[in-house]
Amino acid sequence: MSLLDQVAPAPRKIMTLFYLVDTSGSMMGDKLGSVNSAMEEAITVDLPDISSANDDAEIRIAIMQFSTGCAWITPNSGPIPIGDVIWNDLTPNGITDLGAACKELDSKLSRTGFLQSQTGAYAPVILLFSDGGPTDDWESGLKKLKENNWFKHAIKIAVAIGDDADRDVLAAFTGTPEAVIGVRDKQTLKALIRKVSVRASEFQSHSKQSSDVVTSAEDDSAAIVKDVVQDITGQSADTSDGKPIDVSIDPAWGTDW
Amino acid sequence: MNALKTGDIVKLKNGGAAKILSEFGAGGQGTVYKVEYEGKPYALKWYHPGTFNKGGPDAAQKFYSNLEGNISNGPPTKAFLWPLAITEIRDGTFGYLMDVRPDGYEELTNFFVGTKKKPQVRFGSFTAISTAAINIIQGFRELHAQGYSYQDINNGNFFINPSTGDVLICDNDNVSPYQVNSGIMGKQRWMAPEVVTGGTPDKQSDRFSLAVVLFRLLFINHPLEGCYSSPPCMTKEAERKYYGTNPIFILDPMNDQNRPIPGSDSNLKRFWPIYPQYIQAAFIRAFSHDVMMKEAPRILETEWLDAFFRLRAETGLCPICKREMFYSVTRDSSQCMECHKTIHRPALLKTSRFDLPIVPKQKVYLWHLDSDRNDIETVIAEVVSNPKDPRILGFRNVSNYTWKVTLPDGAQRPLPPGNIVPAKGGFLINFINSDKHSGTVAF
Repeated sequence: MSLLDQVAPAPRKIMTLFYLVDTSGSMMGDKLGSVNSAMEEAITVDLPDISSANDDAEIRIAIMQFSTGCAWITPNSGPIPIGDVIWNDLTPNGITDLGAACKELDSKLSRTGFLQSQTGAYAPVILLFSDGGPTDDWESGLKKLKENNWFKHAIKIAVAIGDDADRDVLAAFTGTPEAVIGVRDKQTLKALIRKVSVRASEFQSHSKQSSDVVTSAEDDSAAIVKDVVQDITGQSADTSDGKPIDVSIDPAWGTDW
Repeated sequence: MNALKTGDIVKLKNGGAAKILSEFGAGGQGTVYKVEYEGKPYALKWYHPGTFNKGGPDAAQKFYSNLEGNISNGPPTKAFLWPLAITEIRDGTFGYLMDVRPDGYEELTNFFVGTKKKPQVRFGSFTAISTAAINIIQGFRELHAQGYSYQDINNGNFFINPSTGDVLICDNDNVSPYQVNSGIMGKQRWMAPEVVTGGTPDKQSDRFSLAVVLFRLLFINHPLEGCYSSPPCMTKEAERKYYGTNPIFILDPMNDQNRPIPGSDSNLKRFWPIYPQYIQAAFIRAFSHDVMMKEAPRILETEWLDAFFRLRAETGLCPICKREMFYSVTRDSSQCMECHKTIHRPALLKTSRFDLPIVPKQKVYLWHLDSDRNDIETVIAEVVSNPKDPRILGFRNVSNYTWKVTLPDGAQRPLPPGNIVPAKGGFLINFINSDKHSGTVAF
């Protein structure tokens, strides 16, 4: 064996992609069905390619479902490499304890929690999917989470599924209504989950381009949303009114929520 | 959707048309399609709409004009996969045609990381590494000599044949004449500090990026990423500091603040010590505080070329284990880096520019004799073994010139192309036509 056979991979930073999925009873049916199939495809098909062709960072993943209380679907020991995820469908049940989810996330967004890495890390991507309004004390949970430095630097995007999602709450989570996307049909939802997972992970897992203006994590999240919406609809997203963005390519195509 | 579909016809500015056959892949700026043009396959890079929005209202027009100019000027060297034709503007965006990348080339990224599906690529030999380095350096040298700067050098731009070291440089759409900013800046990990902090990329910043590429060819790890520069969370502000305002080389002999992170330094431990001192010294200088911060000049391409032409010439097979080793031409003996045996210094061909070990398969390049001719390809002589006694070596004339060989007693003999002169002590060979193109055999 020659020395050149002993070349080791370059050390990479870690970028963790967090999914927070509302699995309350109202998600039953098409909604959670679409989330399940889109997440499975994003995680097993789209994201491994981004991670493997990326010398800047390795993508790891942590998935939490929240309904009555919350639980990690990925191991409690921490995020796992993107190629190693075996998808198990999430099942709906219970209410929407977003506050509990925020508290749990806050406890894991730390070096002693889920974000330990010898070679360092990029700030995470946090994607939140919900179709309703929180049923617990979400405000105190979110307030605590917002003090977390990892959370501050994270790309935070929320997808409001259907008409009953509380978009103000989701905007409070992301820090800006421009990082909340409303969606009313399953076809769009699926496309959206895949594209937003890919675009956000691509952005956050790469060394940044330099620019004269230093943009905030909220600005970046909004820019990613704008990109994804443009990609799906072929039109520029109008964010001038400061309201969440709606995408629905063809509402008649899927179930009307 | 703004994407193109199979069967779509895209009109070219030159009046021709390209037909979309399939998609090769998508990136941050655009999608690359396989297309047919005049009956032959080409690649078409098609920009995402909005790619140039950040650069202001006329950024897309400027980019378009710049690309047109580059197409009419032609590629600096054959290593560049250069834009060949530009499309007309369609739905607010456009693209350009280039040759399809041939088989056998691997993206530089794959030399750094791999997966189960696509394992990490490794060079077949140290000679291939030096050759790849030489090809990349010469690419930038020619680019700069023609008044361009590259602007966006990173691991996605280079495709390398791991067996031969042949190089293809891609994504040449960002190449711009000096003082023109294409509006597309590179990734911070590959950018010069002055660009990270907001300056305009130019020839000097290209030279910093070149040093990063060369370091990673040899050592895989990033030259600026160590204990100091790996905070728990790499924010934009932190990136700006570690690559921009206060970068520190992981092996800086004057500053040990940023030593490699233990456990992630196996490549550095294995490969840094085996390279000759002049290679180490070049990197230490390239990543010294003063050079990085432009308080001292960056290393010129011609300096890198000399270093890697020397390295390649000093790479030969160990007579004991038959694997590659680096022969020192300044010490009486060298240790084989593979079998660790001590090997005596071989005879040398001493030219005005280099001392070349006379070992089987050694090639004497025109560059070794004369760098003014700007030729990195032409081989003048090859060292061959005598079939009857392999210990006896000689130079085969593989040039177009008739050499003039002067024997120790002063007698002169012509040596036409194809013929061999034994490598005997005191022989002086005039390879081309002037004294500077000659070399003496020394034991």
